Amino acid sequence: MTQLIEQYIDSLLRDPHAAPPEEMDAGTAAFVRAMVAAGTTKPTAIVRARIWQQALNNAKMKNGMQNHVIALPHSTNGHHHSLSALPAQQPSVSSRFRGILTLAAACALVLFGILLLTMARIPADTQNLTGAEQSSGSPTPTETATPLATSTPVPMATVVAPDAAIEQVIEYTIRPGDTLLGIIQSLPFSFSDPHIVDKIIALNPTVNISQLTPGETILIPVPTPAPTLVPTLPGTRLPSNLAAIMNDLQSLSGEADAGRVSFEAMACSACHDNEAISTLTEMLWQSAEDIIRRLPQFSGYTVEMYLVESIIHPSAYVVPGYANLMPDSYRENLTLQQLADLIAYMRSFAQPARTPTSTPISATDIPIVVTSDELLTATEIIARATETAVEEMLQLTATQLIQEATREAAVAGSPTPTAVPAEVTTYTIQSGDTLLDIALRFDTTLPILAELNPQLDFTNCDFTRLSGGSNCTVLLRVGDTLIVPEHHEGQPIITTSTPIPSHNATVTPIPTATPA
Amino acid sequence: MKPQPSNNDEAAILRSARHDLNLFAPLYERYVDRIYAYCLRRVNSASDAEDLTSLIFTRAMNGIHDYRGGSVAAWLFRIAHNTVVNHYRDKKPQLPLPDDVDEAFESTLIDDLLSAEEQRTAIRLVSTLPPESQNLIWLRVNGLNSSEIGEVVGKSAGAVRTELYRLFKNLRAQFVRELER
Repeated sequence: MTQLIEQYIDSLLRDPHAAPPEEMDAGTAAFVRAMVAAGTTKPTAIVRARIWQQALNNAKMKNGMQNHVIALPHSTNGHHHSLSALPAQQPSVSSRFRGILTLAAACALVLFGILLLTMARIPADTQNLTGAEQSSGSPTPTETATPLATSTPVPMATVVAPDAAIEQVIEYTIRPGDTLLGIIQSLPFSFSDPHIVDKIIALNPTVNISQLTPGETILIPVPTPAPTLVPTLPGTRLPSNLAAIMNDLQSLSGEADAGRVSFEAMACSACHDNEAISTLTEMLWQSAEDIIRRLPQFSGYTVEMYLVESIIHPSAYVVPGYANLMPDSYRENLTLQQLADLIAYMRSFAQPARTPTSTPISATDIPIVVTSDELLTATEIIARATETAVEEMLQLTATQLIQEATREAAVAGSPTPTAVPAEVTTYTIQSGDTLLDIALRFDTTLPILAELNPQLDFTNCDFTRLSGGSNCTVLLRVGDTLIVPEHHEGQPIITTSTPIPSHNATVTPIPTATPA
Repeated sequence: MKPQPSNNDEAAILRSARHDLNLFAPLYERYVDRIYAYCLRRVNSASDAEDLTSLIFTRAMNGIHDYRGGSVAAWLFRIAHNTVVNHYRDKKPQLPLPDDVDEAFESTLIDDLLSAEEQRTAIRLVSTLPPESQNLIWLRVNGLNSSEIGEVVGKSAGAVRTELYRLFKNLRAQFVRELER
């Protein structure tokens, strides 16, 4: 019996969905499955990155290599943020970047619409959508959001874990000629984040970003949900129900190669090439097969049907262990033919014997053309951004010390010294904001934001960590106002500055956000 | 899907990392999930597991010259085992309250609830065993074979195999009984 148990343990370690040996009874199989599942809880990508950063820094510190890796800057004039730090003699790139940012802002608005849709989860949303958008091919955010927002009495609450903002990362394998800027520009989503360079550097402490080595893997944060890039084609909307789609699909034959192209174009691979986030592309078919065999709720489903449903209603069933990340918007953008192609593409992985030439092109294969101008600029950005990262680290430590002092002083009964800055201002929460983003934007830290905004409910937060720890959850509501430290560099942020009279100044009470 | 790396590859990585610690990264990628999972089950706290895992890899990189051939997995897990034991020694024993199972299963599907319940049962049953036995089980579940476990805890492979046999037999019986209740 134990031989069988050990055998099953090993096959589960290779494949979490492996079937038990035939001779094994159901109880023992359940026992082994539970043991292996309980005993192999993986860290999230961000935890994994954090552990490595810490371990490597500590090890290097001990080996006396610290100075080689992090040259401490002696900058006195505040922080350079990557984008404002672009040198003036590179107008072509910086203006291009600005253009991209404008585009990104528009993109973020559309995303907000998608987010509202996903969160409202109205059962009959298919009809709602069709009704709301029949007038135009590419819906503006207001068109998409308004009908749903007015039809739902539920307050729109954004539940944000600071980590969640950068929790989704993809791995990018460096190819010859890559530069950081080139990579950022080539990825469909990364330019929407003004802090992308800082985040990439923070995620990749071991990588010398100014001199990328081909073959090296770097982590790139992905915003959630990944934007859909395929334009809506009017008149090609999918039938509203699954059965009708399946019926229509029968008359079409899918083309795996075309499916692969759509898969890349819609940035599906951004998530599906990373098993920490979602089922791997090449496992989608097999995983679907497995799920419909295992779960009674899918009896009568074909693999195709399951996959189609997963694409058009991603939240109908979410595989345990994965978050409900997939945007709910694909059904608005896909044509029947694209759907057929995608299914064919996924089916192409069903045969165990695959020729190496049919390996799917991943997001990392996006061709990147780099000029020497860009190379220079990227190096420039990195030099500045590294300074920022180090300063942030130093600042965090200082804050920790102050916090420690505050706590001790409070115990001693003396008046509390405060880390709260004298000059504060207000910030209105935008959709997609996380507290960590806001902290980074205003060069501050979570503890200080907590201090300034007593109305915020920090659940399970560990203030000794920059990110608040993996369980840290804070409810933010779009449109609410936060008190934030005055930003020194006067970056264009819509704010009104008010000096705070004292540490205990009353903050206008803000209703606590209720989760929808 | 991924090709199983041979121990020779890993030893080569270790050799190259002696000159540049950045080259330790592939080995980290290969083992971080297992080391973290092992720590998490031994200390039942996600934040402690994170700190311990980072400490373990720090020690591995600092002790890279101490590797004298043999299984790299056993070498790493021996460091992990010692680090966890020291952690216990330094810290007052904590109530074993697993804090990760519920997080992983936010779904309300019956299937997942059952699976979470089974995992909790497994964790609870193992936590009633003496620490040495718990150690053997979580090492085994994280892919070490009997002789590697023997290297970690300083026993013969045969002794480990016998002990694991006994443990699995008892646990399985208790597990099936509990679930029938």
